[in-house]
Amino acid sequence: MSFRRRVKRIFFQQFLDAVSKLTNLQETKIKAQKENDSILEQAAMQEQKLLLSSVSSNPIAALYSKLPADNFGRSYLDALIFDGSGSPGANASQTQILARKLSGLISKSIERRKKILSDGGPRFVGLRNYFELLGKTDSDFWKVLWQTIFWTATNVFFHFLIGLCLALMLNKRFRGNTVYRLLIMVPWAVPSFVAAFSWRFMFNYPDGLINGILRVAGFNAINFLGNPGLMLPTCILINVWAGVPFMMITLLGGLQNISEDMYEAAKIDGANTWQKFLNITLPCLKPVASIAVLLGVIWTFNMFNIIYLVTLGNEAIEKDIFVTFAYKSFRTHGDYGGAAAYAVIILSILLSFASRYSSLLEREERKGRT
Amino acid sequence: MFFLCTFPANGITRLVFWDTMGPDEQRTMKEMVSLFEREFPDIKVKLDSIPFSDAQGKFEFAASANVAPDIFRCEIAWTPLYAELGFLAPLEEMVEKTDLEDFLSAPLNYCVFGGHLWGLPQVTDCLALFYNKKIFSDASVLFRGRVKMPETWKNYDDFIESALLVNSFQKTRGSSYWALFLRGDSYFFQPWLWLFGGGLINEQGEILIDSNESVSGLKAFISLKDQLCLAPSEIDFANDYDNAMKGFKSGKYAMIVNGPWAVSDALSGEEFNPSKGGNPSDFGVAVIPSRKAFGSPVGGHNYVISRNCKNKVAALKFVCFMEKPEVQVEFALRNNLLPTKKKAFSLLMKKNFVARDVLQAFERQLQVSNNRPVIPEGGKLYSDFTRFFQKAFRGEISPEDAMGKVADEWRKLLGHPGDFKDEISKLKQEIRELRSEIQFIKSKLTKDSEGD
Repeated sequence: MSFRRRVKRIFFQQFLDAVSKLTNLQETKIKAQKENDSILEQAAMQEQKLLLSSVSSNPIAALYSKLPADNFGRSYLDALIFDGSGSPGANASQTQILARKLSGLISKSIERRKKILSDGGPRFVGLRNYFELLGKTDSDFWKVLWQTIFWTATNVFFHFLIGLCLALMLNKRFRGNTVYRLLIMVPWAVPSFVAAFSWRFMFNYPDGLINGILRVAGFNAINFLGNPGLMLPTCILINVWAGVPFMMITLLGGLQNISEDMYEAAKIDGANTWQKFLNITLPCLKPVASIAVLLGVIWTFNMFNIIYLVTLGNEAIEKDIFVTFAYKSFRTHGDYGGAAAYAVIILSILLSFASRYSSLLEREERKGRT
Repeated sequence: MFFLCTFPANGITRLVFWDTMGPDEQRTMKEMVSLFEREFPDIKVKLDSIPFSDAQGKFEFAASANVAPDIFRCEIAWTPLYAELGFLAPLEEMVEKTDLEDFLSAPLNYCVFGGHLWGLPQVTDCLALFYNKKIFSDASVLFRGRVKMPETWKNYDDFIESALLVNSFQKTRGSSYWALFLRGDSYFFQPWLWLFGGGLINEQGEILIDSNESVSGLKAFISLKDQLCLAPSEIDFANDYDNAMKGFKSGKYAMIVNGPWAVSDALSGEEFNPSKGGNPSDFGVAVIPSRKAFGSPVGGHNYVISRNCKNKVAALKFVCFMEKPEVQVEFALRNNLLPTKKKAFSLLMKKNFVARDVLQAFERQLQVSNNRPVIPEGGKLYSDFTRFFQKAFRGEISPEDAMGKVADEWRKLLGHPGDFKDEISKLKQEIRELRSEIQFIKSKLTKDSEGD
């Protein structure tokens, strides 16, 4: 239950109590007037006044009545026993009629109040969570969407480019080939949270390792993790470092599957290195590469650890992608509905990637068989 | 029923306690638990250490599944939230009133929510000003005694005056030396928020963050680094806590704002550690300077008993044992933690130890500290606050805009009564109808009576 609902509930409960007590007292007063029992009448009026003052000194009622422009709670109650709008009824019959009239009105409003009170629990909101995310053009959703696309595209692009270069280099036979391969695998072997914390430490401003190197080289120190504009590029740098080995090892496997015969045949035909790469290596690598890229897209899209752990402490949303933003909206804002909507959107985006992935796999399999 | 009642007395009651402490505190805790088990041989306590960062989620899941630990060390901001979710057992009828009176009011406030007592404060903390006495006295020598020590500051202007002098002294040592280091975290900004009488949210649930007083506080904070140049203006938000401590420990910054949890760390730095050529008595803590209202946010942890605890009496016995002044003193001596009982403080002052003055300074600060809002959403306030505070810190948006945006986000979070506009207008309409009806009936009645 939210704070607002709680205040509302407590206030209305107290308000209802007060209203029913006041109505009872009013009846007593009328009865007393009818029977000319001045003592009882006095007592009832006293009680009414006391009740009114207690209602207005109640902090919750005070809060509720202070925020709207005029003191509605008070005027409502005033209207009930007429102290606000004029003198009490001139005579008993008059008061009686009024009281009957009023009690009808009161019971009507009590019914309404009860209806308001009863909607405290969870209720079905239809597609409201999605409209709230997608409907508003100024919502953070669109900003985060572009950031997510930028993050995924740049990461996978560099993963592939650097991975391919390294694979081509390591595909040659030379001394210490295996040692290099092992060394390049290191980022993949390091748990991502360890990597994130080490990079965070190295990117420290102004005294981190990287800023130290920059200063020695004659540049100014850069505030990588304090400047919202630089956070995402910094995280991309780290994630490229972490993601290259996977791409490299996959592409290397693909490269080693290409038959030497084809290169020899090309050599006899007089093809140069570039032509060999363009016409033999790339087409033969395509099946492996497309699957590796698709996998890379899915993994990068959902890469939570790097962004979250490296920028922990900086609350700007310029660094957020869908997964980190969804986490934030449920963890720190308690907006479970919104976070669930995010999760469904992430799932549907990834589902389209995955279906493309599986259809690719199928196609390759068929090709392999024929 | 009879069997159920007598069973725990004959057999052994087993309690599970999730503590969320760091390794140093845990060592003390383990000893205290064994002391407790010696005193109450029929109760066995199983100490489960849950990392603080996971504790919130774990407890929530466990409590929803009715497998929560019997006793939990609960962060103050979580206590009202869990109380509202119905995870905790109310304790007001089990704890003796005289026992409650001994607690300091600021930490105890966090245990009371919705008219019930939901826990007992284990440890409290507040922010205070850490300063390097050696830098101050060196600066005083340079400026012929014009630098006032933080204990003698009467108001905020004294602070500014001394800080300016200390800063010019620090600049003689190097360009990366400063009088002050300001963190880009809204929690650490709060003393300035209260400087001109601003605030977060008051007891009536009104949002004060965008009030003029709060905005002036933010302006004063930013002017410290931008106009007065007392602190580095460009900082790394992801690493600033470590940078502040590192700089303070090495004498790069003469003053920082931090809490009692950082005392041991500060004393290990080269400026204050005898084995590294420092002097522990150079480390000073003072009350944060103030202009109108004193301010320092009170934090800490409570012991709470979960609702599904089978033997609440035994659990409370354990909690009360841990709340004993002697036990609190042990924690204070070994781990520099602030006790929550007045008796523990008076016991502590009789002892002689390194951080004695420090704890005394924190006690002074605690007396003039503010509570964070005791509402279920209390823990969720700081994320949005920090986000826009950091934007203002970097000068991307004006302080007014920043605070206005924080208030907007909080309204979404809390549901400001502004949200009831429809409802209120309906009610007003109803009142108007009621009034007009009354008027109508009245006029009719008077006409009738005149007619008679």
